[in-house]
Amino acid sequence: MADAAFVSCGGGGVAGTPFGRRREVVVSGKRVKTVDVHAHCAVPAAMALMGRKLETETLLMTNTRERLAAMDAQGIDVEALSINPYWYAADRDVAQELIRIQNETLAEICAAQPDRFVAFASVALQHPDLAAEQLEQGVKRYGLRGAGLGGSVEGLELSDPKFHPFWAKAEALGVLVFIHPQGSPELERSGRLAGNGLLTNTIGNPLETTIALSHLIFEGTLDRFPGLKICAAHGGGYLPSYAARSNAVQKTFPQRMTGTLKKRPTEYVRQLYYDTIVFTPEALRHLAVEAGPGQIVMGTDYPFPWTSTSVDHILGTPELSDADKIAMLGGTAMRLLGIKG
Amino acid sequence: MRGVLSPGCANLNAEDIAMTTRREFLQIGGGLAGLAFVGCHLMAARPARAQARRREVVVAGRRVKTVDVHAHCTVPEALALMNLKLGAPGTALPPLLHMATQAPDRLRVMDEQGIDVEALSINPYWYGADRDLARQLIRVQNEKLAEACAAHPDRFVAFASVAMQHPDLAAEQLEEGVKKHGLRGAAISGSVNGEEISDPKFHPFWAKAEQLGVLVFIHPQGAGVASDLTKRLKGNGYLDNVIANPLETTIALSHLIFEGTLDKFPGLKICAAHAGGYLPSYAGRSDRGCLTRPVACPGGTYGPIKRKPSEYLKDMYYDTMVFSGEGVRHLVAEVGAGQLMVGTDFPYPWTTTAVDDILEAPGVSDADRMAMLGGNAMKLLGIRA
Repeated sequence: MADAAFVSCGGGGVAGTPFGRRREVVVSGKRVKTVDVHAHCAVPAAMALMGRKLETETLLMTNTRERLAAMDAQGIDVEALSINPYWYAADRDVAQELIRIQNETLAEICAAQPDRFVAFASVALQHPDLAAEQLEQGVKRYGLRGAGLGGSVEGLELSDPKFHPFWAKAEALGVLVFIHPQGSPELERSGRLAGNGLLTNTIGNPLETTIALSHLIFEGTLDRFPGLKICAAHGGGYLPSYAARSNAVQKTFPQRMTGTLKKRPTEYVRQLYYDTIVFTPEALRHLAVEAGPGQIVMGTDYPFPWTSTSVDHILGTPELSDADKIAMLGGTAMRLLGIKG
Repeated sequence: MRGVLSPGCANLNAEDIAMTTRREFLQIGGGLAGLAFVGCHLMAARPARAQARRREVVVAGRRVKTVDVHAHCTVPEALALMNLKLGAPGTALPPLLHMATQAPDRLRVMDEQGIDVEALSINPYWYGADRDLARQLIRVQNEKLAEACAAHPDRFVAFASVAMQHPDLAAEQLEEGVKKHGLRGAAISGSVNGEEISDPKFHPFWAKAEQLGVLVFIHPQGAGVASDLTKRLKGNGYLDNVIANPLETTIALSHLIFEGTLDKFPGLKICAAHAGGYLPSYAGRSDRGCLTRPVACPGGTYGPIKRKPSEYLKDMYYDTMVFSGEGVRHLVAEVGAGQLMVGTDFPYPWTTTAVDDILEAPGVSDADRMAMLGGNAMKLLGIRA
């Protein structure tokens, strides 16, 4: 990925501190630039094209005072913004217009505070050739740093050959693709996630990511596009922590391996990227062992209050080396997203 | 109906091939997906030599009695009542499940892997049976389980089967299984005909299990997960087992926690297969969900339950089917070594290293290794040293 491509976003400069002191994260005496790869936002003008209403005002970027205050308090220097897909049912014309508005606005948001925000392009994955164009335009014209996807597209898996044109483009551009699940409607319909506990999210979201990544592995998508850089939200759902089960199936039920893979499933797990939203030091430690510390990038899920301690989570995981911590806090994301030091 | 098993398997000797040929008609059947077995690779789990030496597991110089809490078997006389047959087309039931005829082969595998005692269980296939049929089926099955244990009392104990679809009957069957047949607990599925096991309908069963103080082994059946979701689990990799089984357990345990079943029956001893599915390794998310969206958990911080969700996890038991020493280390860190017991999934050859995973888990004390290898299970299942 050429650094020259980043026109609208990036660069230096000192941000204003709306209120409160900005927390500066230091590891072994060195200031570390921290990057949050899992930060939501919304563009109402685009949502209007689908008749969608804003879920919460904290998603808005028209006034970033509150967001910057939270970032400053939590020690987040840069957010990599993404928008969860709600447009996968749109026809080609609407999708074209919606994504244009959305990506232009994302670029403006980044340009307004280039030291605090970068963004993933939105793409209309239901029209894969269009999505490929939108990604290229988003990166080359708007300086966006990759693409934000859902975990499935109108019932189709991301591994469906229909989406190969998009994956080919993402691989050619060398940009990061952030996959964020949108629950498991198929399971919700059965009623099995009903009742107390927000299981539609606490189970539904990691499940969708697990299914999506499993198909990308088992259907050979990652073999076909070995240069892909994929980052999965919520620590990759359930996949990394129980990855060995995916290996064991090759031995246990070989007749259910209808395709041949180039590597063992866990080797693909170690080439994907994951955010740190696993909440406890033990879970982060385990994720680092299973995926490799260099595959993990900080996430907060802002503005949804899943965690406000992502920085401390990394700093407070005793088994990680300082180099691992620096990489997770920002080093790896800076490299993947083309953020300057 | 899922895929037809391929008769072609690598690394088989002549005897195995002959046996495979007799089984090549096996299919992986819809309702029995949790049991799904397979023709030939099972053979890979058999020792190469008929007279293999029995592996004696030693920790810190002391012989440890090892107990496998996740070992499948079946009773053909009971299967017949549901028109099922070992090795029949449309089922996934390998003959090796039959204790009355196949115990020697089973013992050879146990000897090779260092398993001293198996706690046998039968995955439910009778939840559709009416009351009379269910009564007859469970009676035959529990009697046969008792016979299988009596034939090798130093090698086998068993969980009773119960007809959960008739909860009061299930409670009776559990009591009879424990008191009359010497069975050590009950084995149930992750859901019952689409109903969660947290449903108040099942309270009579849970009350009896709590009162008797016996272990309840929960084994998922991937097909119990909604058929709509199954569409997303097609294709390469057998995801309708690899994902659907741990998922069903995750859902079942989550409901037992969040619907208050574990508050209502605080003395319950529950052991979940496959290391509790996905739940223990992502416990933090269960704790945060309600805080993030309190409206989804009315009645208290975590809804109408007494404790933080992850605290209930530390009261349940799990097998160690995580395939690696690191996986075991992680489970110990999440739930404590006192909650863990060996699981092999015999005769399905998911693992042949269940004992080694525990021996090799980094940073675990010898006392914890002994507890996981057998101590915990001996206490919970009443197995003498």
